[in-house]
Amino acid sequence: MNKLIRAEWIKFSTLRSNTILLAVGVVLNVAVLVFGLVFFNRSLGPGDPVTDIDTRISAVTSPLEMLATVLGILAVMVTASEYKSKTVIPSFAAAPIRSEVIGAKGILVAMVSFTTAVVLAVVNLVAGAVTLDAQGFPLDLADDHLVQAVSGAVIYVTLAALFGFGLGVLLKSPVLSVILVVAIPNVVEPALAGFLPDWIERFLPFSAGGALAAPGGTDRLSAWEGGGVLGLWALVLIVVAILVFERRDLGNTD
Amino acid sequence: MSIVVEGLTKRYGAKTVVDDLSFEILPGQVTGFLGPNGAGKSTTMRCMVELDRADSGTVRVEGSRYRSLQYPGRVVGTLLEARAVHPARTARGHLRMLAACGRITDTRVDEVMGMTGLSEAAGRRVGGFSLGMHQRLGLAAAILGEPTYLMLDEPTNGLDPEGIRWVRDFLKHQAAQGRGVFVSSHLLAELALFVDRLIVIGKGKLIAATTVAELTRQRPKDVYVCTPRGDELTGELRKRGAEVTPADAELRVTGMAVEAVGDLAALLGIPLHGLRAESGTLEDAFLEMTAEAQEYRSTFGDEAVPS
Repeated sequence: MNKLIRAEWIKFSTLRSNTILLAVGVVLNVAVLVFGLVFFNRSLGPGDPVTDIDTRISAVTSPLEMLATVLGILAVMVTASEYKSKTVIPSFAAAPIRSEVIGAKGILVAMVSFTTAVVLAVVNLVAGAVTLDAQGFPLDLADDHLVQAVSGAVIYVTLAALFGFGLGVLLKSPVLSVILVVAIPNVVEPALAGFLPDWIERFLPFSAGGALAAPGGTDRLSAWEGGGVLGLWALVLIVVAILVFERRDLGNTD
Repeated sequence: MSIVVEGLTKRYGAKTVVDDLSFEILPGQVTGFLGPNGAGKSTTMRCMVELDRADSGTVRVEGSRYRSLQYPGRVVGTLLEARAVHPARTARGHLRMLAACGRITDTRVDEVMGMTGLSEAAGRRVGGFSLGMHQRLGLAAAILGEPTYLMLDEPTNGLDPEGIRWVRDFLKHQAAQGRGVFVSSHLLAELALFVDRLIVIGKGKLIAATTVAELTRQRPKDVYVCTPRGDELTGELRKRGAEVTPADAELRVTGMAVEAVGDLAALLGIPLHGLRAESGTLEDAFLEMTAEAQEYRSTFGDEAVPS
């Protein structure tokens, strides 16, 4: 298994497009962070934006939601790039037990996403604490909601990437996978939110998973329940994807 | 020890591409895998390394399933599709990612690039490679793990004569080192020069498992006669059951030995200006053998594609 993770790391790190996509994620995170902090004073939202601690926490965690979508795309590409370039042929000839290769890819996706999210969470936290403090709205770093929302956001990013990874393995078309990765959390779920009964809506992957990064969870689910729902979605998707992938003809790519 | 394929069958939808195919590949020999385009050669190879899922049949590599080998690339080195590389990756990056699966060192990666003449191009992106360089990279990947067998799908396809010769010499060298080489082609001429054994398939079925020498020997010889009294001789020959067709200035006689044709002419007092027996080319043998199994036939030129 070790050797396969190493192989996946080489595949990942030898493509500049991956590095660029990661950089895009970092830049988007920073842009949202800066925007949120600069305009924090003037922002209007539910509750009192000036005194509500949860609003301050969101300024730190919400940039990571951008990162989640970008890493979802990156995770799709981990498999899709192999299809598109046909490197599935030499790759799976060299490592014929497919579930192991997919497993190694999944571990790589989780490690890359988790590491990136942790680094950016720390950056956001430090930048947020310093800036907000200077504006007269201090962040209490030991605050329960802060600890939950920041660690939750890191887990959210990782699970969202794994969800995208599952889609990328399941579907042969990278375009379709990328569209779904972007559209499900940002278009489909918000669109459905209006007219689905509440008990269904709470089980939609990303609206449930959003509770992880929301200070104190959402009114429907606690942070850990929401994380459980998104995690279960990602797990089921990956398991189904592996079952489908196991039976697929990989050599006949025409 | 060998690679044994038994009863291999693969269908795509309703179409049976490989049909109950059985054969054996021995180590230390060059086995040619021959058949017209669309005969199922590539599909067979892909099923052998479990890239495509066979519908039935078994493949045993030295007694075990391909997927059960701890380091498959050290037992069977494959080149199934030279273009199957990511254009943005460097040649070295491509080989390193495959090497990692077999715990093969970077030193070996550099070594195989040297053996295939790619050292200069190691750091270049594969996207800019010519077809010849793609084939070299594919061969470099195949020999990475110093495997017992090499399995190569049309490694000379699309190459210029120089490239074809390079690949042939390369494969000869690999075989000389004791490697079992299994190499496919739709052109017999490309294989005839250096294979020990031939597996011929058509429409997914085994047509022959033979040697080049045997293939030549089995062919009945045609007799070519040159005579000023062609019509007369043709009539006499046909009376005795031989088949006669005009071939340029000569007559081609099938179904009668050269001695009998000469004796007959002498008996009838027909002068002969030329008389010889010819076994035709290996290409003819191959085409005749696979005529039944041709996927597509042209409606003209029955010399090239006998029907």
